[in-house]
Amino acid sequence: MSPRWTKWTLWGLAMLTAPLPYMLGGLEIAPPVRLAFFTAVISALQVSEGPGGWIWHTFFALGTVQLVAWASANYFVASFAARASARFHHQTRLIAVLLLCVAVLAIALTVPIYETPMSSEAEYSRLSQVLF
Amino acid sequence: MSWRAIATIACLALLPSTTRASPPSETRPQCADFDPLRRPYFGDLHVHTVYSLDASTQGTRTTPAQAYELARGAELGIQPWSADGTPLRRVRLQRPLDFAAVTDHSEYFGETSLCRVPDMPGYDSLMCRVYRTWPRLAFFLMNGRTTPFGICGPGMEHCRTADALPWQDMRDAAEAAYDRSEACRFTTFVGYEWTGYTHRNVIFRSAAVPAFAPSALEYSRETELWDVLEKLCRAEQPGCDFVVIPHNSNLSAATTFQTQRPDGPVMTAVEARRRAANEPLVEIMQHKGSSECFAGAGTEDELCDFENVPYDDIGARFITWMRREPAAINFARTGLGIGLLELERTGANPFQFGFIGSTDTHLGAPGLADEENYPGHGGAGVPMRRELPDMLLDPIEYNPGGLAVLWAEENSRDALFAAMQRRETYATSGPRIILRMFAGWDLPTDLCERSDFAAVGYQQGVPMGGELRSGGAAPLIAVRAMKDAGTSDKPGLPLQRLQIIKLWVKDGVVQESVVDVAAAADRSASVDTSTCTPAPTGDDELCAVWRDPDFNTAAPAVYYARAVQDPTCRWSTMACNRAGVRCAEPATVRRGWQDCCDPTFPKVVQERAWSSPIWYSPGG
Repeated sequence: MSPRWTKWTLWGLAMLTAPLPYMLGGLEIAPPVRLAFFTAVISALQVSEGPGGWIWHTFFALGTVQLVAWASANYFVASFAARASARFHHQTRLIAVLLLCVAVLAIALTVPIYETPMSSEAEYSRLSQVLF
Repeated sequence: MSWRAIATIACLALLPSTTRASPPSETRPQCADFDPLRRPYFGDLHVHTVYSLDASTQGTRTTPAQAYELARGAELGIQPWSADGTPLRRVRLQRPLDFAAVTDHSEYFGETSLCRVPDMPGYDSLMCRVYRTWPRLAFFLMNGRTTPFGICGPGMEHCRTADALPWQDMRDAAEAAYDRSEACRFTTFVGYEWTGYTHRNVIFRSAAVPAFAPSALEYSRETELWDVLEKLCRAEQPGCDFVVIPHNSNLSAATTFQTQRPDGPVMTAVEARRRAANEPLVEIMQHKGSSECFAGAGTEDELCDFENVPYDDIGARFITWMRREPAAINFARTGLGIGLLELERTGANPFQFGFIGSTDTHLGAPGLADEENYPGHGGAGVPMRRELPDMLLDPIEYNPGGLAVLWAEENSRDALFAAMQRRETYATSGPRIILRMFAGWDLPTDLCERSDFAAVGYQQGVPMGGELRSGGAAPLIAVRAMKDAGTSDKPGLPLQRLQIIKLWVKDGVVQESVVDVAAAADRSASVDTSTCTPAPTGDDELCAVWRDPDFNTAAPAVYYARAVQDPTCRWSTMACNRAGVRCAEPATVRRGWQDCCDPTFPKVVQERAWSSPIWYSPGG
């Protein structure tokens, strides 16, 4: 696995699973993918329903700004980790990244580590619930 | 002349009225238990069902008809729901209510109908899919929208058509549940909530109501609401009349009792009279806190530390960084004082209001105001779960709400509505305490010992909600409170003390005094918070005839009574105990239950009742 693939894999893992705080209506601690989902829904609704006024614009701006911020932060962290792992053999790196992905996904899928008060289904969510 | 007319005339002759008398709005037999000296009727005038956006997006499926059935004693299934639609919780009142009004938010009646009824245009739109699939997100987005929805179609055509569906169903349900027989078991009112600056419930006197429920989306200020209701109801609908009841002044960010908007002129005497006429009552107790007073905010009254929500804006419930401690102007007691100042300034008191309590249930569960087994304000934590979450089911600052009590000759719409108009009402925080108050210049000082308390009170004084119009040395105030009798399974707790709260103006500043006019001999009552077993020591009845020792004939004043029960466990203490939370053992404080151990919130409360005030105006 190349450092470049390592970087993007770690970035994707963080975007999918890292419990990070953001404010959108209320404070949630959830993966950025959930924030991206909300922001996408709001923008789709702005198209289908017409511009929704300043609150909708604020929601959209809040979602976008925080999403960009977390995506950038995760990118820098992933880049740093990929550079640090460059000294290892690519197979070792592959195994390490795979193990990390499996472990993180296992935790995220089985333990309700996310705080999702905006959720319709669970105040404390697992990864499988963060899009509901 | 009919029996009913004769009785009504006799009562009017006996009872000094403080408001205009209206001709009957309906033809019906007199109630079997008609009492010219009036009885207290207990009810709930603030109930949300599936037609409220914020209820349906919390999983509430209760219809207005089901809400009325619960109020009359039936069992109701509430969320969460199993996959096949079976309710996983069931609730029932220990005692039926005497009256109720379903008061759904009229904002978004049309939009939510489009999204709920499969045949409606827009049902398959993205907005409606979000509403049905991610209701919590839809709640924020739909409430936050400041422009018309695309699903409403050109000229809002679809939404205007759909608007009529909930309103018609609410009217039909109220009509079907209203007992017009001589038994007079249950009375309903057609009503709705206008959710503008300060939230207000509109209660109509009879079945004659406007064709639509004017919402804050079209009529954004309370004066616009009065304009449209005066036009559509009083002017254009024979037999139509209404009262507007503000609520949650505690969360109104100081808007409820302001006499000048930032962008407007100071309130005039004409506007003040109009407000007092249209808004004779204020709801001071409900799920989202007490609005009587706030401990430390302009008062040293130790009993103001009761069900205080620690922020002053409903938005701060969700956006916690917006939270700020409430100022005195958010509370009804301050509003009464401002009213006295306005009376001096303009000659008219805009805040001459009585008190009621209600629940503000968003489960469609009127009257469910017991601390024990409080099911929460809304959706059991989250709207679409298939099981009850392991957590405190309501924000800990909320509470089970209260009841509205109306002193009326009988349990009929006209009699109850007249009680609201003349402010002969009171609020309780749930228990059915009976509270009565009269004030007059010549009341006998031995009134508490006499069996004709009410007859003499009416003959020689004015009841709660009234005005003392002529001067004298100092008014006598007779106040009597009886404990909630409860049920055979669960008798009510005795009363600890009976107080009179007086506000008056001195040198342009509102003064306040709180006097214990009667108290139980033994006030050491307690409750074991680990088991919630009370150890009551209070009295079943407290009564006093009190003469104001500091009365100044030149100073406007207002008096109201407060009856306080022996202590009992707060709902949250009961819920936390049931969940096995013991704050001394951190392992038992599971996630979702941490608030059980927040010392900001008391483990014990003293339930109470607040009478509507009686006003004194110099030369009035």
